[in-house]
Amino acid sequence: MDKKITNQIKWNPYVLMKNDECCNFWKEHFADAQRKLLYVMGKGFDFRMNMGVSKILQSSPGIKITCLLIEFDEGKSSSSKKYSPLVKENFEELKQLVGESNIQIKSIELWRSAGTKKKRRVGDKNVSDLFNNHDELKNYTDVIVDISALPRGIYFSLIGKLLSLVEVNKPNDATQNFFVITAENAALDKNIQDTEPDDELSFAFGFLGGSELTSENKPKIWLPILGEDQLYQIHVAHQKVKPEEICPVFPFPSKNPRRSDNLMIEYHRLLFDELSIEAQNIIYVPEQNPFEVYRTLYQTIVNYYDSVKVLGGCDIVISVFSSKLLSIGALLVAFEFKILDTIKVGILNVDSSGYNINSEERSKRLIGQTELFLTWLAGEPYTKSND
Amino acid sequence: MSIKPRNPFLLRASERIESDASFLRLYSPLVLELLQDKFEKGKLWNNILFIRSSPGAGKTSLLRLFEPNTLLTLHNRRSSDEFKELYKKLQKINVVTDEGVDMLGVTLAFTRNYEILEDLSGIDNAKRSRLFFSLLNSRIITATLRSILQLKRLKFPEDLCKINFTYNNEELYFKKISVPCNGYELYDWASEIERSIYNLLDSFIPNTYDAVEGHSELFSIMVLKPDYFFIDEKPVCNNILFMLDDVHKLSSSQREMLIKYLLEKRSNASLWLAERLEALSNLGTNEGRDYNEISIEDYWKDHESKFEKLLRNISVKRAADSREEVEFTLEDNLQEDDLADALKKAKEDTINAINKLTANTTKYDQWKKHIQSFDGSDLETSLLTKKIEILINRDINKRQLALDFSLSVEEIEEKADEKVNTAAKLFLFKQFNLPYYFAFPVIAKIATNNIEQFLGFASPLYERMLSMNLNMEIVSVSAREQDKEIRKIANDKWKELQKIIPDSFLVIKFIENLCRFCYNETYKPNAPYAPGVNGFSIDTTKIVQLIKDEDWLTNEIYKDFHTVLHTCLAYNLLHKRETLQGKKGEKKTVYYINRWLCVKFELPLNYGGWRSKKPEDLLRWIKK
Repeated sequence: MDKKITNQIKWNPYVLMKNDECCNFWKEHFADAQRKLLYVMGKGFDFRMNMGVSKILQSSPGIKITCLLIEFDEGKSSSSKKYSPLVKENFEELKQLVGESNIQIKSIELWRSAGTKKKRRVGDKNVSDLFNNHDELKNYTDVIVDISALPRGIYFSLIGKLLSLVEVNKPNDATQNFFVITAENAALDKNIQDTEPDDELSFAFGFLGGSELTSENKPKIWLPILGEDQLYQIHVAHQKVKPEEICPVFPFPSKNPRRSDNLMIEYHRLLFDELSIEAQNIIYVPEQNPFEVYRTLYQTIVNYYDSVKVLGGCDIVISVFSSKLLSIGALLVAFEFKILDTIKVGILNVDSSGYNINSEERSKRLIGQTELFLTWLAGEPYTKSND
Repeated sequence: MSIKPRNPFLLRASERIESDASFLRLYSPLVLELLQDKFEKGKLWNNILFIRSSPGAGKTSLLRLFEPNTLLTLHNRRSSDEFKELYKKLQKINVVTDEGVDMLGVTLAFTRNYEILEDLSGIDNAKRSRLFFSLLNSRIITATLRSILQLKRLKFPEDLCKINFTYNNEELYFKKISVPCNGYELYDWASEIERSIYNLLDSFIPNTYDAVEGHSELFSIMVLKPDYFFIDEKPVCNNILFMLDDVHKLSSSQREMLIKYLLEKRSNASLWLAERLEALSNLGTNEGRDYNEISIEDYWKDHESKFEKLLRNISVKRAADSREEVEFTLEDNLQEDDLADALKKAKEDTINAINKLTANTTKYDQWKKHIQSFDGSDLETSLLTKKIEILINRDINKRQLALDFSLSVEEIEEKADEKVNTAAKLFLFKQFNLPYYFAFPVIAKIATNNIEQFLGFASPLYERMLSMNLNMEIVSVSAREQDKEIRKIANDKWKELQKIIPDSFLVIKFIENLCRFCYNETYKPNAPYAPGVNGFSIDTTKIVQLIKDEDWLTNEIYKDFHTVLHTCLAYNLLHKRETLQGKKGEKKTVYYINRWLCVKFELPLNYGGWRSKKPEDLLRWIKK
C-alpha cells in the first residue's frame, strides 16, 4: 500500500444530524453570540429551497447571518423557465425570513455557447470563482452550503472550493465550521424530472481525476451510484468514461427495502446484457448516510488500487445518478484523494439544462415528507479529535 | 472473461466492444469502400482528410481499425475466413502487407477538457493558444510513442528507452529537452507538460501559468516522422497516420486555430480529422486543393444498395456472435392469409369509396368495370382500387378544364407511375391498419445511413427472435410483429427525445409542425406529391424586407430557427441532400426528416418528396 494511502480516513468519526437533531444542535451552537454564519444557497424553484434556513432561524432567531444566494441561469430555452413564479415565491419567502439586507445575490452562468456550437457547462468553474481566497470567509465562524436548490452541476465544485479554503488553504490559526445541508425527499425528487441532459460531458471542475491524462492511460474503474429514471444519463456517462471495470453502487439499506431490487430490474438489460457487469462487482451503500457511502467507496478504491498496482495503478471515476445526500459521500471521497494526491478520483455527472415538475399540486403535498440532513465536514469536532 | 453476448445488437459503439478480435469479427469490410475511392484518386494518404458524420455513423469504429493492436490482430489472423476480406481491403490501400503492418496509426480523441482552457481567467489569448498547442503537442507525442510500442509488441513504459528519436532540432522546436533522445526521455518530457497543464485546469487554488511550457507551434506533426524513429537501428514503420477524433469537442476558436494551422503548414503527414456535423463551418479554403473530405452518411446516401448490403453483413456478423446461435431473420412478405379479414374489408371499402365518389358521373365507368373484372388477390385489388381512387381525385380536381368523356382502361397506366403506386400502398395500408414498416430493406431505409440507428431498431427485433427461439418457435418475425415493434421503437425514441435534446421546447414544436405539414400534404386524396412529402427546402428568394438574402440565417430574427436547424442536424433529426432543380445545374439543399421520425409520423420513407418553404414560415413552426 502506498505510504499516503492508509485506512485512516479523514471523516472518521463523523458528524451527521437529521431533522430535530439539526434544530437542537443549532439552538445550542448558535447560542454563542460570537458566531457569524455565512449561509450559501441556490435561488431556484424547488419547494425545499428555504427549508434549511427557516429551520435555523426558528431554532436560533438571534443568529447573525449573511445569506449568499446563488442565482443561476439555465439558458434561454430551459424547460425550468416556466417555473419562474415558483422561484419568485421562494425568493419573497427568503426575504421575509432573512431580511433583504442580509442577502447577497451572486449570479452565475451555467452554460455557455459560442457560435453554432452546442452549449457547454461553465457553471462549475464559475461557482468556484465566487470565492477566491480565505480572506473572504474570515469574518464568519460558520459556513453552511445548502444544496437543496442547487444543481448537481455546480455544488460539487462549490463545496470542493470551500472545503479547500477552510481546510487546506487557511491561515494556521483559523478554524471554521463547514457544513452541508440537504433536504431529502425521494418522492418529491421522483416528481422533478431532469430534461435535456448534457451529452457532451466533462468532469466536475476540481475533480477532473486522471482518466483524461492521456500520457498515464491507466485502467479506469467506474463507480456509478444508481438512481431511478437515469438510463440515458448512465449510457452517455459510460460512453464518456469507457471504463475497464464497473462497480455499480446500489442504495441499501433504504427506506423502501425493495429499492435496490427495483433498480436492478430497471437497469438489468443495461448492466448485464450491454455492459456485462459481474455480479460480484455490485456495491451496496446506505441510502441515508453519506459518510458510510464515503467510507465504502474509499475502501473499494483502496482495494482496487492495491490489486492493480502491479499493473501501474488505476484511475477512478464516480458518477452520481441518485440523491444529493448520497452525492455528498462521493464528493468527500474524491476530495480526500485529491488532497492526498495519491489515487486520482474524478467526478463525472450528467447535468441537465432544465427540469420538469410532474404535478405542482402533488409535489406541494409531498413537501411534508422532507427530511433535513446536516453533514459537518470541517471545524471543531475534527480539530478536537485530532488534538 | 470472454463470454459471448446474448444479444450482440445491443453492443453499439465500437469502443464498447472489448477485444480487438471481437471488434474485427463484427466489423464489416464494406465500410472500407468509403476509403477506396479516395485511395484510387491518390487522396487518402499524405493529406488532410476530414471524416464527418452524425453520431453513430461509424467514425470512431473506422479509426479503431487503423490502430496498431487492431491491425496486428488482423494481420495475425489474415488467412482465417472471418477476416480475409477485411485484410484484402486493407492490403489494397497499403495499410498492411504480407510482411507486416506498414502503417503506424496514432489516435488522439479530443474531449471537452480542451475547452476548459478557454475558461482560465487572467491570461491573454496568446498564452491560451500556447497552452493549447503545448497540450496538443504533448498528447500527440505520448500517443505516438505508445503506438510505436504497440506496433512493435513492446512493453509500456519499460521499453520506451528502446525507441530512438533522431530528430536533430533543426527548427529549434524543442527548448526544454535535448534531442535526439530516447523514447523514455521524450515521453517523460511530454507527459510532464500534460500533467502541469492538467493541474492548472483542475486546481481550486489559482496557479501561476509561467511554470508551464507553452508552444507557439503544433510542431509534433512536423517532427514525428517515420524517418526519425528507430528501434535497434531499424525504422519502426513506413508511414504514420494521425487520427484526431471528436474535433467538434474543441471550442470554436481552438478548432479554427488547429485547422488553420494545419492547412497553412501543408505538412506531408497523413492526418485524419473526425468530427460530427455540428462542427461544420466554412474553412475558407477549397476541398480538393487544401484538404479532402468524407461524409460517411453522404456516401451511403449515394450508395443505398451498398448500405443495405452493409447492414445485412453487420446483422449476419452480430447474430453469429450471439451465444444463442439464432439468425437474424425478418419476414420479407406480408402474410396475406393472416390478414384475410382486413384485406377483404379493404377491398370492399375501397370499391365502395370509388362508387360513392363517382355516383354522379359515368366518366369512370370503364375504370370501375376494370376493377370488377380484375383477377387478383384482395390485396392486389385493393391496391388497384386505391390507385384508381387517387387518379379519380386528381381528375376531379382539374375537371373544369376537361371534357366529360369516359376514360379508358389504358389511361390508368398512362396516368399512374410508380410514385402513385407507392402512394396508393401508403394510403391503403394506413387506412386499414395493415403492416407497412417491415422487411429488411425497410429497416435499412429507417436506419437513415446510420449504423447505430440500425442497431437501435435491430436489437429489440433480435430480442424477439431470441424469445421465439426460447419458445421453440420459428424465429422469423412476422410482418405484423415487425411493424408493431418498429412503431413502438419510434414512439419510444420520440418520448426519449423530448427529454434529451437541447432546446427541446423549440425543436419538438418545430418537428411536430413540420411533420404535421408533411402529413397533410402527403395524405391529400389526390396525392399531389406522390409518394409523399418528408422534407423541405428553404426558399430565400423572398425574405422579409430589410434583410439581405444571404444574411438571413445569421440575422437575429432567425436566431431560434438557426438554433433549431443546427440541433436537428447535429442530432440527426434532419439530414441534408443536394438535389438538382430548375435551371440546368442549379442545386437545392433539401432537409429531409430522419426516417425514424417518418415512422413516428406515418410518413413515407422515399426520397424526393419535399416542399419549398420561406424562412418566415419555418420560423412560424417554432413559434406557434
